[in-house]
Amino acid sequence: MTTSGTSPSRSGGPLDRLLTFRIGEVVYGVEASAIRASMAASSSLRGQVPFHGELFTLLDPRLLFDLPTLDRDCRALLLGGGDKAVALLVEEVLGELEVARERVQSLPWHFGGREQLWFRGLVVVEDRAAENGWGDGDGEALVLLRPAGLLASYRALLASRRPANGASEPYALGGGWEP
Amino acid sequence: MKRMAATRRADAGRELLSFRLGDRLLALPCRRVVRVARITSIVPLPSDLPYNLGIVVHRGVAAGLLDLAGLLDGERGQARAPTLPSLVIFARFPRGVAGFPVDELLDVEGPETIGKAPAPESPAFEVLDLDALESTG
Repeated sequence: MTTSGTSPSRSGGPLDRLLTFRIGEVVYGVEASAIRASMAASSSLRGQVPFHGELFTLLDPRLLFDLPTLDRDCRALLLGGGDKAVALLVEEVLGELEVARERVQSLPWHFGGREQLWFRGLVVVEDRAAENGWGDGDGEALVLLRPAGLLASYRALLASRRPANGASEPYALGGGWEP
Repeated sequence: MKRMAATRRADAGRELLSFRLGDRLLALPCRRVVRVARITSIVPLPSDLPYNLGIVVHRGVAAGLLDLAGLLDGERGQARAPTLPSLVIFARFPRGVAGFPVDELLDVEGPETIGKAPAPESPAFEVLDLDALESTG
């Protein structure tokens, strides 16, 4: 998917600017205005990271999505604030995209579990690859994330795995972070 | 699901699209079929549902993709992703359209065959009840 540019509004309505990124084989997006920072990181990092006086919970969505863990460098997107501050680990940042708000669709009807917490909808964007002679030109789905929903599920997952002595994961200070 | 010979049906005038899924011979009322297409890619969106294969985009429209065999068998294991490209029937369920990969389209059974004795070699089809299928899932 070529995720730069604009997915225009048919009626001239409001546009949302999204930052798009890849986790596994799926391309996701969040509102670009929600991004506080983007940093190089290691996929093995856990815990929290301080940034400008706030603590951001490191969240690897692959744990929620039942994907195998990665063993390589990735990017951390710092989003939100307060108790919803999250450092989302993604494999690759693809670019920014403007999307007409009216083009956001609900998830297909049978996505009725935790997916409703994690994803707020999807947008079909043009498959620019078709212009280059590959790809079928049908368009591709860009899935819009709910970082707060992911964080709630992630905290529940961590709580279920916490040792009996109540020890929490260490801060992710030092190596592995490159602002 | 009702197992019956395709040529004996209580509601005369209903056409059925028959297809093969593995060893199963299945049929679907044509009025519930939105389109049949060959898809070349699937978006494997994570899901709690075991028979959920993800999302497919065809001609600019996104629809969910289901593992029909898993849904029919009530299996709770991993959904079986199809080999791509894959033939998909997009059907109208009560809550919306969804697609499911099939192995082979067979025929459209028209009203002219209703009431006639089936030929000995005619296979029996399972006629899908999409309303019941959706509530099962």
